[in-house]
Amino acid sequence: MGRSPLWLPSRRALLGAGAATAAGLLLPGRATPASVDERRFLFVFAEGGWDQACLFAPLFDNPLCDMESHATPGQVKDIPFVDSALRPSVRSFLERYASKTVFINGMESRSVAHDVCLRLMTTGTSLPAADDWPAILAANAVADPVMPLLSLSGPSYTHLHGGVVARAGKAGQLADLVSGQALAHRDSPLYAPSATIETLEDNLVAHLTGTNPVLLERGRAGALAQGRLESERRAVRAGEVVSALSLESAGLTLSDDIAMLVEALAIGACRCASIGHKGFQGLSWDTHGVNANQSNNFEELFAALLLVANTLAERPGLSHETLMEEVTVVVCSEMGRYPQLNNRGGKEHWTFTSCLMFGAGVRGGRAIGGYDDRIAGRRVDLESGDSTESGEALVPDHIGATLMALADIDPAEHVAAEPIWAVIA
Amino acid sequence: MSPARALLALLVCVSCSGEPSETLPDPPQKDPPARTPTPSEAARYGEPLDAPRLLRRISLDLLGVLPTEDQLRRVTDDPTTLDTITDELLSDPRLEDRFVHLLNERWLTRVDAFNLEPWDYGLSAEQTYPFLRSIGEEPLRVAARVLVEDQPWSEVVTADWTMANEITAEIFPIQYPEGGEGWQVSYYTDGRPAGGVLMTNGLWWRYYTTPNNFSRSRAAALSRLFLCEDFLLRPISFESPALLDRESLNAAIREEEACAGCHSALDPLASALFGFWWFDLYDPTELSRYHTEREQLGVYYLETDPAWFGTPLQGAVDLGPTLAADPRFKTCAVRTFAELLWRRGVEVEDLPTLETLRAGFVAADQRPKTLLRLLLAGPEYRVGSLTADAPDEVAVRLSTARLMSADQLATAIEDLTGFTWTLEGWDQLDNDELGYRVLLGGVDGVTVTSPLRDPALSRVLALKRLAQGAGAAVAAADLHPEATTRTLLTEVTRETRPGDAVFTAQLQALSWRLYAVPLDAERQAELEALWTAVAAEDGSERMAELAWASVLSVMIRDPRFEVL
Repeated sequence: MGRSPLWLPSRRALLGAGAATAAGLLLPGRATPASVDERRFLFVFAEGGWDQACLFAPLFDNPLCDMESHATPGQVKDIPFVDSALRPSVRSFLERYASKTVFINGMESRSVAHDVCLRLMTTGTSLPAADDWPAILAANAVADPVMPLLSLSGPSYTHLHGGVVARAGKAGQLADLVSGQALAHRDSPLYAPSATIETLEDNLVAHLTGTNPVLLERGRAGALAQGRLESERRAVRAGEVVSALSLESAGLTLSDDIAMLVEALAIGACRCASIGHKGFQGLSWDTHGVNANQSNNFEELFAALLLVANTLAERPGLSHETLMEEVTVVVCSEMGRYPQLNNRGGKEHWTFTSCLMFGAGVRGGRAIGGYDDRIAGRRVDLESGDSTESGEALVPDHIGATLMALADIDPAEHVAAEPIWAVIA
Repeated sequence: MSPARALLALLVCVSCSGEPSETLPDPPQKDPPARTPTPSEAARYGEPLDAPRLLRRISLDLLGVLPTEDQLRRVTDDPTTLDTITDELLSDPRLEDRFVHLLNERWLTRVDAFNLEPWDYGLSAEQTYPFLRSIGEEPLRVAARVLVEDQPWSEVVTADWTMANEITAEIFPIQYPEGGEGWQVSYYTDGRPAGGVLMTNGLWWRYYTTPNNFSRSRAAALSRLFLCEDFLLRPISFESPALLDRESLNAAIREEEACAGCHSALDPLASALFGFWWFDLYDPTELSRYHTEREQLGVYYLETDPAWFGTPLQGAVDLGPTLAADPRFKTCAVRTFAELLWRRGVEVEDLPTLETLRAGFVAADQRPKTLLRLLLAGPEYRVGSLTADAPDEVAVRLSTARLMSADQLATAIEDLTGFTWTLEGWDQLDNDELGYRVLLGGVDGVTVTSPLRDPALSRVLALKRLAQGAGAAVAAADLHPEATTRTLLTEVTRETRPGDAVFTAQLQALSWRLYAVPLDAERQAELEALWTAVAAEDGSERMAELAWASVLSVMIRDPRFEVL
C-alpha cells in the first residue's frame, strides 16, 4: 500500500497517545484558552417571569400592588428590596455582596407572551434572525476558548453566531457525546469503537476537514467549511474540559449546575456560560396559580447565587486576585408579574421587570431605576443612574448595550441603545 | 371594565412597542400584477450546482433522504431528467413528514411542553413523547396534507377537517376514521367552524393566551405566522400617565396613536378567537374542546367586535376565508417557502424574485407544489458557487451551501443505513430531555428557535456518535453471513480486502451515494488505509465488520456529507 498517509500515525504513536492528543497532532488549535484580560460572563435566566414585588420592588405603600403578608421592606447599602424570613439567602447575599451588586428596575420587556419576551429580553428584538447577548459576546472573544458560549439550559438564540455555542444539554448530554456513552443510551445499546480505532477515525476526519478544498471558497460554502474546521478543533480540546467539569452530572440541582458553569469560566474554558432556572423543584416562575412559589424560587436562586459569589470572591482569577474581578454575573427573567393577585392566588404577566448584575466591572451598591405608583418603569439618566423624567425608559437593549460595553465591544454595532453607564465601574 | 382588566389591556399596547420599522402592515390590497422579472443576484453572480449535487439538495429538502443510485444515474446520463425526478419526489409520500419538520422551523409548534400532561388524559408517562408530538404536529400535519395533495394553499386556513392520530383522536372530540392508523384526515365534532389550522387545538395549545391577555398574543401569532407581519416591530413611544386608571387606559388604547396603531387591528382580531378562550389553563375539559358559546366573550372583554384589519367579521366562521382572501397571506406563503428552502432570510434584493414567484403561485391557484417547483428551479435555490466578480456583499447573501438540519441528518442516515436512535419510546434525535436534538442543530420551539446555520462543537460530536452508530449498525447487518438483503454494503463481503476490484467499487458507490461526487484516487487511498489500520488493530474475525463500520462512520463525518 506504500507510505502511510499523513493522517495515519504510527501504531506506536497511537498506543502511546490519547485519542485527543493524536487527533490534536492534525488539528493544532490555538493553545490559549480564554484571554486572561477578557471579561467573562455568567447568565442566569429565571424562566417564566419573576415577581418584581417579591424582591426588587418594595411597594408596600402602593395600594395597587399586592405584597406578600410575610414580607417587609429591606435595605442594604443603597439597594432597597423586599425582605422575608422565607428567603434568608436573599438577605445573606445582599449583606455580603451588595457592594458588588446592582439592581436594574423598571425595564420594559414590551410583551407578555413568554416566547416573545424570552427573545426580546435576550436579543432586544422579536425577529428570529438575531443573536442573543451571550452569543454576541462569545463570538467577539479575542481568545479561543474551547466553548465560547457554554449553554446548559434556558434561552439561547442564534443566527449568525450559532457556531460559538456549545450546547451541553439539560442533562449534560454533551458529556456522553464526548465519552461515547451516548450510544449506550439506546434501546439496543451500541458502544463506541476502542480508543485506538476512534483515534484513527478522528485523524482521518481531521485530515478531510483540514484539506477540504471548499475552505478556500468565498461565501457560505467557505464559511461552512471554516466553521466545521474550527468546531473539529474545539471538539478535540473538549474532552479534557468536559471531564474537568463533571458535566455528566448536570441537571440535578441549580447550585451544582451553576457551580459547574463557574468552574468552566474559572478555567477559561468559555467566555460566556448560560443556564435557565425553572424554579424550585421545577415548578416554574410562571405562577399564575400560586404566587407563593415565587418565594421558594427566589430562595433557591439566591442560595445558588450566594455560592457563586463566594466562589468568585475566594478563587484566584486568571489574571486578577479573584474571579470576582473577571466574571460578570447577569440574572434576568423574561417579564415581571402583574401587581395584583388573581382569584387563584397567582399573578398574571406584567411587562415591566428587573434584572440584577454583580461581579466584574459592575458598580454595585445601588438600585437603578424603579417603579412608579402605577408599577411602570421610571425613566433613568443613563450616566448617573438617577430616575428622572428626562431620562430614558429602560428596555432590554440597554442591558445588551451595557454588556457590550463591559466586554469592550462597541454597542452601536449590535444594539440600538446606549449602555447604562451608571452600572459600569 | 375593572381597573385590573384595564391595566392588563395595556399590556398588549405596551407589547406592541419595539424598534422602528419600515415594514408596517399594509391594509389588504389586490393582487399586484406580475412584472417582467429582472435578473437576480443569484442569476448574475451565482453558478448552479451540477445536476447530481442539485438532485441531492432537492431530495434532501423534499424528502429528507439522499437520492437513490438510480436517480443519480438518470440525472447523470441526462441532466434534463432533473425536472422529471423532482416531480417524482413531489409525489413521494415522505414529502409529508419532511414538510412537517420544515414548516416547524417557522411555526415552532413541536415543543416539549404544553400546559397539560399525558396523565391529565389518563395516558401513561410512557406516552409522553408521542403525546407531545401529536399535539404539536396537528397544525403542521394539516399544512403538509394540503401540500402533498396539492390543494390550494388557502385550504390551510379554510379546511373543514384536521389531521388526527390515535392519540389526538382519543383525547379530543374528533371523528377519526374507523380502523385508521397514524395521521388521518379527521373532523372535530364540537361545533367549531371550518378554519384549517386556525381551528386546531395544536396551534392554540402552543400559542395560548393568559387570562389577562385576552387572546391578543394569539392574534399577534396569527399575524406573524400567516401574514409575516409582526406587531412587535411597530414603533411606539407610550407615556404611561395612568396605567392603572381605567378611564385613561381605555382612552389611551383608542386614542393614543402609538397604542391604537396596534390595537385597532389586534383587538378586533383577538375578538374573533374567543371560541378557544379557556377559563382554566390547566383543565383538560377546557383545553380539549372549542367553546362556541364563548365566541361573544371577545366583545365583552375587549369591547370591540371581531374584524379583520377594518373589515367586520361575523366571528370565527369568517376568520379563515377572510385571511385566505388577504393578499398578504399569499405573499407570506411565498416568503415562508422561499426562506425555508433558501435557508436564509429574504432581503430587499429578493423582492423582484418573490414577486415573480408570487405571480406564478397565484396563477396556479395557490397550488403549493407549483410554488415548490418554481422555487426549486430558481437560481437562488440552485446556486452552488460564486462567479469571480461577485461582490462581497452578494457573496455573503447567497446560500451557496447549506447545513443539513437535524431532522435531515436523522432521516437521511436512517434511510441510508436503517439506523434509528430511540430510548424508551423517545427519539433521541428529536427530543432534548435526554436526547440530542438541539445539540445536533435542531430547534425546540421555545428556547432554541432557529436551526443551526454553522457547524458547532456539540453538532460535531453528535454527528460523530450518530455516524459511529449508523456505521456499526449497517456494517453488522450487511456483512452478516446470513444477510438476505443489504442496505449499503452491497458489493463486499467479510472476505473482501483493499485492492480487490469490488472493494474499490464499493467505495466508489458509497462516495457517489453519499455525496453525489465520484471517488478520487486520493480519497480512495485514505479510506483503504483506514480500513486496513482498523482491521489490523482488531485482528478478530469481526475485523471486516469493524473496519467497514469505521469507513462508513468517517464517510458520514466527512464535511461533504452534512452540506447540501
